[in-house]
Amino acid sequence: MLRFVFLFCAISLCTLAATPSGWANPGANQKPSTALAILESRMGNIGEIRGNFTQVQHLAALSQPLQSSGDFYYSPTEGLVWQTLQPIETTLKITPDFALHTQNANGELEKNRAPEILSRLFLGIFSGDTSVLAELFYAEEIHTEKEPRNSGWQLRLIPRTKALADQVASITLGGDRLIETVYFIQGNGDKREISLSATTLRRGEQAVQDPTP
Amino acid sequence: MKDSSRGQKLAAGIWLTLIVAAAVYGVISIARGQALESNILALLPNSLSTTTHESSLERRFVVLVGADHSARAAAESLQEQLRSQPQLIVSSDQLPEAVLSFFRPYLHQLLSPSQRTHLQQHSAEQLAQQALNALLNPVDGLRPYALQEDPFNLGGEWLSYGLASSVEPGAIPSLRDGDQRWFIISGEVTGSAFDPAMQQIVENALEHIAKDYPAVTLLRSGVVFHAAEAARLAKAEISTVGVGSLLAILIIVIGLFRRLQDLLIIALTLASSTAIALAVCLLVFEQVHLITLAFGATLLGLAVDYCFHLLIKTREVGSANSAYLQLRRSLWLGAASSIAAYAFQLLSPMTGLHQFAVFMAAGLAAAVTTLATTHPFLSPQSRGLTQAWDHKFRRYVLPSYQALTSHPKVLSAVFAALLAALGYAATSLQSDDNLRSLNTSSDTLLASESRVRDLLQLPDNSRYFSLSRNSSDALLTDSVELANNIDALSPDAPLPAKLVVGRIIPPIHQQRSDAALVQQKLYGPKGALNELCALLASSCEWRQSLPTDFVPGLTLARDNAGITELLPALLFSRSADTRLMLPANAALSSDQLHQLAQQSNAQFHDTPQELSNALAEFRQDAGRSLGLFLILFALIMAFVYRRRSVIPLGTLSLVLLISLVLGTGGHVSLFHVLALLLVIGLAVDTVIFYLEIGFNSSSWLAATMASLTSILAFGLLAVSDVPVLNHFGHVVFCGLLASWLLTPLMILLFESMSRRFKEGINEGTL
Repeated sequence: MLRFVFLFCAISLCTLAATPSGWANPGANQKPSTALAILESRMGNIGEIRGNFTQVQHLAALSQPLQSSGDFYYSPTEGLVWQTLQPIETTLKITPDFALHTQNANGELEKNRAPEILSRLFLGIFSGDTSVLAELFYAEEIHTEKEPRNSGWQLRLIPRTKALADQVASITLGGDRLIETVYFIQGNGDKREISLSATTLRRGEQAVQDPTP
Repeated sequence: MKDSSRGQKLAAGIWLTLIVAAAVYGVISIARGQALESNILALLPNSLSTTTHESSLERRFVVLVGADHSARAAAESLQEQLRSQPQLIVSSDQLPEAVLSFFRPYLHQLLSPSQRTHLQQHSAEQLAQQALNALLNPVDGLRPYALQEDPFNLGGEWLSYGLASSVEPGAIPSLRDGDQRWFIISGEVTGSAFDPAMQQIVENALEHIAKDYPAVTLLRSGVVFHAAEAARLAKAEISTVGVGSLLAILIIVIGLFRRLQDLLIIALTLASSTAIALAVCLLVFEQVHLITLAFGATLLGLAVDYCFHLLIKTREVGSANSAYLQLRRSLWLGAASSIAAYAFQLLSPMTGLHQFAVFMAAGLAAAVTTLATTHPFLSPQSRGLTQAWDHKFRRYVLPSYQALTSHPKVLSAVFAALLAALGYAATSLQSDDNLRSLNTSSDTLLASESRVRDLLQLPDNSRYFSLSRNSSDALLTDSVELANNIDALSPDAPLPAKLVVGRIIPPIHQQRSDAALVQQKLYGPKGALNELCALLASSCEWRQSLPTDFVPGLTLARDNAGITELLPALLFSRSADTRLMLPANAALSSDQLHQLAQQSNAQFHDTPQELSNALAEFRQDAGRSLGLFLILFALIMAFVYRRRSVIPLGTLSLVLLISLVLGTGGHVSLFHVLALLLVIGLAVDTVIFYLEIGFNSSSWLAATMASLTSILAFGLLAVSDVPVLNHFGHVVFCGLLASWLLTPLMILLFESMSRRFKEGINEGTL
């Protein structure tokens, strides 16, 4: 039965992941709590966040990157709404109990059978709940002074198991006051880079328009 | 030691050498760790032994760690500990690839029912748009194959359907049960789950976790845990009986004989009978079951009886040689009749009975041989002891029995009425062949096992349908039909695809039909792939390598190595037969299951029920063997003792009926019948000794000591936690007590009746 579980773990997470096998195995010795505390400190006290995103996918099957963009909204009480506007309009929603809802052929949101782990992982990035990340990955902080865009912080997540590592080379999270990039690399050469730009942020009772520094 | 002839010394020397050799052989075999068997199923006949695949299931184990915030750390620690053991396999990184490879060539012809309907109901435009949605979705579900080989993620849908589970993936997979989260550690032992070394490794790791993380709850499932508990319990029971038996013997022997020589001859007899019995058993069967040893401990009770008779007689007559000569016939006759009673069990097909029979027969023969070869070396005995007991016997025992037999007709009538009443009661006895009597697992472990099975929705491999067909395709088709029929009865809980071979490997006609649908709706000229490539603004050169037709090869003949553990339906499937297991929590009645089997031309197997039926057969077998032995015994007694044969026959009838009626509590199991064998062995010995040497102080003392030690030793079994041993103890207790009390009464009654009969003849009244 456990093997069955590992199969699920591996094949479900390959969806998230990305490629270049250029990552070594750097974070193995670092305590996850230290590095992940950065994410938790930036995202842990969000009352509401609204913004837009762009996503660029480099897929081995396509000669050109697949680009998409749209809006997102997150609040601890409503969960995450991820609305793609380009190239097509489509919406997904993750409720606070980690249920994933995606649009069916009729344009209606219906519950998706995707494993809850993916919803927890993605929601965890917005909520600052790092328990899922800590469970699946070793985390290390990367110091990237040479990259002006990432002058804030960067975390690299390395899978804890070989089975997962075969599918997911790494996930890199970056940002400043908030998370700004999520970069998945999976073993088959595909990549997914998501850039987030918050337009409204409320921490606790405080609401901030255009929080970009 | 008294003078003995050269021949006697030679015989004793040879016999002692044999005993030492047997003991060395037994010790070496046990030290190698291969001599003892604890799998209760190994006692059953070969026809019910486990198959290779069942053995592979037996090797697996699952531990759920949860119910506390420290559960994840505890699970990680446990996983690490288990992985460090070379004898264990904890998960495998390679398995996912094995599954992906198995289905890879056939992705375009494998559709789950919902996916099939989905394709049928939607247009190419809609399907293309959904495929793009899924591609853009950062939280999309399973996508196990690359876009260029599976652009519509048919493989992901197929595996979601085939491997559906409530388990959450993770570094350590977990599942939710209400507010609780359980982390799952599973694996398998590389050897037998019944190997004590394997059990020790797993148990040690769990003990460490329980100690280091006292707040976590550990739920266990797997044969290895049950086998460990069974072995632990059997060892404890053996200790109870063995220590109890030895203590009783020691206290009585020391209290009564108070001589080192007597203790030595008793110790030698017990040691020789045990060593020879074990060695012979190992030579014949290679392994000895712990249950055989537990029951075999009764051998000590029988073997020591012969010593009591010889030692007491020696004290009575003052010489061991004279005592042996007087007792020789009764010793050998008693041993032969007991050996015969056990040897009759060889007629049974049950391996456990064979072992028991060989163990007992060899041990008894060894005990008598030891006395026969060593008695010449015993020193003359003082008569002090027998004189003291003779006084007590004449003052208390004999008068009591004489008083009871002073009205022989009344006593005969009482015995006749008792026989009739017991006989009547025996006719209303019911059989109890429930497998639970073999259960050695604690309630805690059983509850844990059940909880794990429910939480993980593990299939119940003890209840299943078996299907056989002439062709592989007919088998696949009919397995789906059977599954559909089952689903119709419980629509809220359809059978998981992984349990139905025809759902994992669809019949060829289904694969062809689905391949055609995929071509029409997705890959063909008017298919959704054109739309998708347009949406992706790509020429999709790779589409040329996508299959354009049905690909043969996905049949039961395909090598499924490495994936059967994920897809249990494949585990028991061959080209012409399969097994459809039900989930552990399937809520279908026995009638429904048998009706389904009939409807689908299948057979429903309920393994616990079948094993219970097997126990019933063995009980009947053992009963028949016992009956046959009793007939033979009656004939021999009639031949040897003529009119006096009424004494052993009457006594044995009464003792057996009392044991059955009072000792079984109204329900007779196989193990009650086995206990009757010991009762017969002891009762026959007692009655033969009385018949041979008469009812006097020495025979009564020897019989009393024999019965007392056995009652003390085996009466302890009545408090055993194992139903099997508990049954045994009750019957032995009732039988031995009855035998000890009734045999002298029968002897005196017969003598009294004979005397009156003769007097009647002499007086001319008869």
